Parts: sequence; structure tokens; C-alpha cells
Amino acid sequence: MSADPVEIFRQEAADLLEALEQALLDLERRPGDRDLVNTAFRALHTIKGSGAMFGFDDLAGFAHEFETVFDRVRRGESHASPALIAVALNAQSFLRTQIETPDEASPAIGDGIRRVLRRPLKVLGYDTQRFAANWKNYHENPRDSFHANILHTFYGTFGLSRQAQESAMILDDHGRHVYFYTKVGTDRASADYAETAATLRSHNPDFRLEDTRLLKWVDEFGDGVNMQILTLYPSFVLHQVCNSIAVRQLVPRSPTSSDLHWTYLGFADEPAGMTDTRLFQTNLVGSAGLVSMEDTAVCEMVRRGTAGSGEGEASFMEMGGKDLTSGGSTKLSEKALRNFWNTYRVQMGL
Amino acid sequence: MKTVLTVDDSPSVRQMVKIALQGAGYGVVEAGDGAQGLSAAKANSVALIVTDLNMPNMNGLEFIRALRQLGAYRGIPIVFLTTESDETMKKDAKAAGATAWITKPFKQDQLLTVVKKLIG
Repeated sequence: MSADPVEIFRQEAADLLEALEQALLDLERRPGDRDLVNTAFRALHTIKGSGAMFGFDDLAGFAHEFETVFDRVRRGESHASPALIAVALNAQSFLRTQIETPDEASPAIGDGIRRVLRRPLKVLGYDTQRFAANWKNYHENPRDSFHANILHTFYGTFGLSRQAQESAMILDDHGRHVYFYTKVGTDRASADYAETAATLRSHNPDFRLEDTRLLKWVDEFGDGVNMQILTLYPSFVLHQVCNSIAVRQLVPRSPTSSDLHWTYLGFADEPAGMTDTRLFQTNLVGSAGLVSMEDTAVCEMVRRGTAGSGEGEASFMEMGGKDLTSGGSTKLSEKALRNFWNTYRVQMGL
Repeated sequence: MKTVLTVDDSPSVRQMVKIALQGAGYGVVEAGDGAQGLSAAKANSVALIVTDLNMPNMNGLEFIRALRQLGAYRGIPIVFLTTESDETMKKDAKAAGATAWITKPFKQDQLLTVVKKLIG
């Protein structure tokens, strides 16, 4: 046995997470079993306490929130519903990833979350969008940043997102999570670009909207970013598109079916007008939004396109290579996509 | 050499306590829960106890209640290692005879300061 407390903690946490997983699986069958609830609580309590001792601050913070949920179950204020167990199993696997490969670049990703979720929130509504594609098809979408301008012609036409705008794509050190943003109205002017843009149907300056409310937004964070899409592997997306703020939770249903649970957010202290603006913009991004429906429709097309004609067959197209590190920070990069598949392959031992 | 008993179901925390106290010249005996702690207290001559609250089998509270029943340990200093979510148990522990608290996370120096103050 190693004498280093940090190494001892890693092993201990791995054992505790295994005990936690077993307790959660048993709770699915015996939701009223108090011993199981206590086991889950104690495992999380120790991970929190010991994790904080040895510098695993993010881990300890997360375990604290998780533990609080089980404390409520323990006190009889809540019960171990199937929904709770499902979320808890997800959270358990997240904790395991955090211990096995601590996320050194998470501050950048965390900054993206804090940039948006900066004040007390209120939930404006929630709903579920079901689509006929694999969950991994959906993961390609927010990582494939150039699809925004090809697929979502509304964005290009009305200038909400264009390739020439200032933008960035930030990945964590392991390529699991990605944070992408673009700033409206920063289109770089160049003769080349103007010439090319003139040939694009979507850049016709004569296109006008009858109702321009969908284009009006307030730069409420004061940094000019009108679009931020932040994706945490394996199941979470946080977006700010103009004034629409929402989280999307991706839940696989079968190899060819997935659910997206949308939760639309605003801030507790905002004026009613701002809430109306956010709700109006769900016509663009939201379970029945123009842009979001294009996303799921294209996921379904990609799934059908890659399925192959016979049983167990699949097709793929290798585009710009397999390199995980090149691609820079512009929107025109496959880097995030390649890192997603690499993460998945490594995790699944493929 | 004065001996300290560390009772914690977390091996990493026990190891950290052990390294800190042995480095300062104390002897250290370890136990993984309250029941083991009670046996260890009976088998050794212990000058101070550092114990966790939340443990399987016998928790920290039950442990010190049982310990205070033993004549030799009626007045022994007991230091609790707690977390912020242990507030209710903390009150009970005080009533059961805890001497001092240290909230996790803590540094080795903090632990040593408390131990030196209590047993020199």
C-alpha cells in the first residue's frame, strides 16, 4: 500500500464509488431500503470530506451537492424515485471520471458556465424533444461548429452567426467538454470575403424579416457574445443564444432514439419584459425552435446515412484526418468532433 | 511516547493524521470505525482520540458514548473531525463529551496545534 494519502484516496474513492453504484442499483429494486440509502449517503460523505482534504475541490463540491440529495432521502423529505436513481447513476459516473482523469482545464469550461449562470435562476419551463437518432449523433452537432452556417441559413442570412465573426472553440485537456462562442456584428471585412459572400444565397442583403423581434437581443453580459454552446460529456449542453438560456440533457432511449430534456432559464430578478424576450426566442432555439428542429432532423439524416445497407454494416467518411490537437481555435475545425469520438472509444475500450 | 488513536473509515484521512502526528513524535494507533476504535482503546493506553463522525457499524457519537463508560477513558480528550454538514450531530457530540472539533478540510498544522494544546 502506498504511503501517499493522495494515492490512498484515489483507491478509496474508487472503492466507495463502486459501493455507491451497487447501492444505487439495489435501490432501484428496493427503493425503501434505509440501509442502502445510508450506504449511498456515507460513500458520498466520505468522498466529499476526504476529497477536500487532498485538493480534489471540484470533486468535493460536486459530492457535497450529491450528498445533500441523499441526506434529504435519509430524512424522509424525498424518496429514491426511479428518476432520482437515474440521475444519481449519471452523477456517479461523472465522479468516477473526475477521479480517474481530473480535468485540469476545467476552469475554462467552468468560466463558460459561470459566464451565463451568474445570478439566481428561475425556471421558465421545460419540455422534451424526442428524435430518431443515436445520442452520439447529437453530440456531433454542437461540436461541429461550421454546421451553424450551412444548416441554419437563418443565422447566416440575418447575421446571428457567420464564419467571418470573432469566435472561439475551447476544449478541456482531455477533449471531452467543449465551449464554443461567437460574437455578432464582428464580421471581418475583406475583399475576398465580400466576393465569396456575394455568391452565397443566404447573404442576399434584400432578405428582410416581416417581424424582426427574433433578431432583437440585449447584450446582458456586456461582452458581445450572442451565442455560446457549452457541451459537457456525456449528456449536458448549456446554451445562450441571444437571450435564450437553456440546459439540454441528452438521454439515450435506444440505438436509434434519444430524448432531449430542455429546461429554459431566466434570472430571478429580471423584469417581465426580459422573460418575454427569452420565451419568444425559444421559437429559434427550443424543442420546437426553427434552429433546434434543423439540428435533430440532420441527426436523423446522418444516422440513416451512416447505417449501411446490411445488418451490422456502417459507413463513414474520414474528413480532415485523425489528429486530435490541430485545428486551432477557429470555428472551422473538426478538432472537437475527433476528440469526442476519441473520448468515447477510449472509455468504451474500442 | 504519547499514543493517539485515529478512528476514521477513510484510510486516506487516517494516513494523513498518522503522518502528521508521527512526524511530531506521537505514537499512532488506527481504527476503521467506532467498534474497532473501542477495541483499540481497550488494547492500548491512549492519550488522545481523533475521530470521524459518520462511520459504518458504530458512528463517532456511539463510539464516544461507549468510550466514556470505560473508567480509564472518562476524561480523555476527544477531537472530532467533522464536515460542515454535520451540524446537528455536532451538538449531540458536544453533549456526549467531545473536547474539540476540526472541520475538514484541514491542514496538518491545524491538527498538530490542537493536539499539542490538549496533550502537549
